[in-house]
Amino acid sequence: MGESWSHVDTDVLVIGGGVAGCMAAIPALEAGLDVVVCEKGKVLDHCGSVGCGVDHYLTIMESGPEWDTPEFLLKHVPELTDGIVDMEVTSRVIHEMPRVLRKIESFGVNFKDPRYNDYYRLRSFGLPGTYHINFDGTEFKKNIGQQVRKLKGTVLTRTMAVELLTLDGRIYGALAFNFRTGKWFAVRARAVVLAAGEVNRISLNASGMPFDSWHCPYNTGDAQAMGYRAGALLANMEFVETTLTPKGFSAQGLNALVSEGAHFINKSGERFMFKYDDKGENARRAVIADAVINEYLLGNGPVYADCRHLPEDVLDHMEATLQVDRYTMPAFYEQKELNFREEPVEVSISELSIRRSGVYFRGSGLAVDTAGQTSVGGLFAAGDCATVSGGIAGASVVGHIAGEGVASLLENGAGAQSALPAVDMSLAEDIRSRATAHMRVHEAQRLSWKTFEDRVRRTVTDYVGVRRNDKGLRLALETLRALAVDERRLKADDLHELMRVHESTSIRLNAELMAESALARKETRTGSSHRRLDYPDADDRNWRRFVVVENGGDRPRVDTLPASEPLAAAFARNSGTRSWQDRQSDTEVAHVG
Amino acid sequence: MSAEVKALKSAPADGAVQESRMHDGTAQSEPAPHNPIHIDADTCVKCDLCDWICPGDLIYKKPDDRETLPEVRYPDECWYCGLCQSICPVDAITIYFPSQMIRCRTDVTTLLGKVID
Repeated sequence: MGESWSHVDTDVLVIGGGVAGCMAAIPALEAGLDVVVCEKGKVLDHCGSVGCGVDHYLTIMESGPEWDTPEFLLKHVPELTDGIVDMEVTSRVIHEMPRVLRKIESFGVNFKDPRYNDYYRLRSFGLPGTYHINFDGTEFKKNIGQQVRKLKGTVLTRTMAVELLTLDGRIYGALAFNFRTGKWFAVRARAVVLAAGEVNRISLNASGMPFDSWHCPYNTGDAQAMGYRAGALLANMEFVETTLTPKGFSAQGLNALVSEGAHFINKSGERFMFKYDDKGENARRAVIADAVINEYLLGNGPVYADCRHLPEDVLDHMEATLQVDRYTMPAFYEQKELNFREEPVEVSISELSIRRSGVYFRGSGLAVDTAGQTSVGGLFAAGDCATVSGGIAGASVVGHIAGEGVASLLENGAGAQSALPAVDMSLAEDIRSRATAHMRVHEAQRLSWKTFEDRVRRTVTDYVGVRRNDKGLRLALETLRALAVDERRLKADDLHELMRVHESTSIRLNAELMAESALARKETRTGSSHRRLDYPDADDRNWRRFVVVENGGDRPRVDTLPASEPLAAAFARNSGTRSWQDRQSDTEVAHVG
Repeated sequence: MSAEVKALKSAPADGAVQESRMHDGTAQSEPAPHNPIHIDADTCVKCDLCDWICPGDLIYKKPDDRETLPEVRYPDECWYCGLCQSICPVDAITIYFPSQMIRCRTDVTTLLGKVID
């Protein structure tokens, strides 16, 4: 036996303290439950993807016109997602949007534009109405984080969860460590919410710097990896997402550009977007990215974002709000000595992520039902690690749904009130010992996580990225599986690196799940989000189906399900009616490693 | 030209060499990673806020110690989010972008995959 453990007992463990995690914690706390949030950052007010700010929020407001109703938006979801979407969960999400918006406003978030003392709503990304509120969300995350603290949620900061604990197919906690102190936690919880975001650092970008990413580079698919190992079903993992960024800086900001009227031009000065979509620059993100990829492949690059035609007041607003999505954007332009009002800005596609493939409502990750619960009893998911996702609004709404789902399960679920099982400490020691073995790797065996990750990124970029075929995907799988064998050689020189090593292994596993799922979908869907050069057309007759993946022991097990059915129809969840004591007597050890 | 751009021109150039350990364990010289987070030692009041707010666990500051400067321990893991700069109470922090970001020369087609038959 090693060093001591910190034992924590709670009703709800939330893994990830971003928007989705906080929004899940809030209704659980309001229901009187004890909630522990496990977060890699230090401060809830500024952690996660929008810890430094956000400028758009997609929502229905029921302000009067037909387009501003849940029914109208829902009717357009199949075309927004090319028919691959969980309509049942999406329907609940869209219907909940107005209520969750009002709730967030009650936390002190001001969605109104001070210029008009009203909501400033814009159209973008193929949506059939002006659904995006353009606002100064510098304090957005702060207000939500403060609400969790106000309701007395407990936060384990700079703490990384490494494995979930299950018994008889039902979740009962997780093991985690603090990478500043080295303290290990055995957390017992009656329900767990996974909200650790999408998968980044998975492919190369223009700057060649892995942490220069559009979304938070500290979101590395840890939730998807832990959920997978615990037996949860994942879906849509074949789809990749990319966006347009100023070349060299993978930052947010595309929405502000396109919704305010920027044009994209190629090296000949041609405004090319209308060749690809009759909405032009207002097409879906996936379509914009696909068009730019195609322009580059045709030799029409560089591609530029052009704002020169915009009226002065629009340019003033863009300049004044440049730092809202990314605080350092003005410094980037300044150091680049480039004035976007007067010169076109060269753009690149960003690195890839596994998130929601450039469309709203089709998330890639852990399959959830209409209460946010995964296929594993007591395990919930929300935000960019779940199968219904949509920016911060999606994270807010699905997070809130999951928090209410947890409260309902713990109030009504049979067996939920009985005492939690004891943590199997020999299992816990085994997991800790395997985790900390990375600090004891022999020098001759040393493999740095940076080198390892670079190999994953090179493989994904070359063969699992925006142009795929059978041969390339199989080659990638071979490489990714060989890298899995190398994982035991990953050397961590300190606790911080131990955290990074765990991120690296999550990234590799997610890359493998992506390659396996991409191999299975023998068609092209949503352009470069899943382009199979050997199956270049969409095949609606055979492929109105989800590709799903789950833990098959040695290898991921891939299957397909009709997209006309909710993913939850396939859940064989063992949430059961039996008490923990009955489960424990049946099952000696449920090992999730 | 603004003060920030002037400061950039006098900032340490990329590629300064430091002793570091390679992944095979041998000590070798490799270019030091670009440090984007410049903390002005004269201005810094040695509070703990930049360490506290950094979402990537990059900045280490001896807690409650008004003598020691914060250390940017893992500079190549920076997201360029600017939270440290935004929270610094005395504006002691400036973010500098490296040349591969502000003068990026990468051929975008190299990011678009290889096709093997």
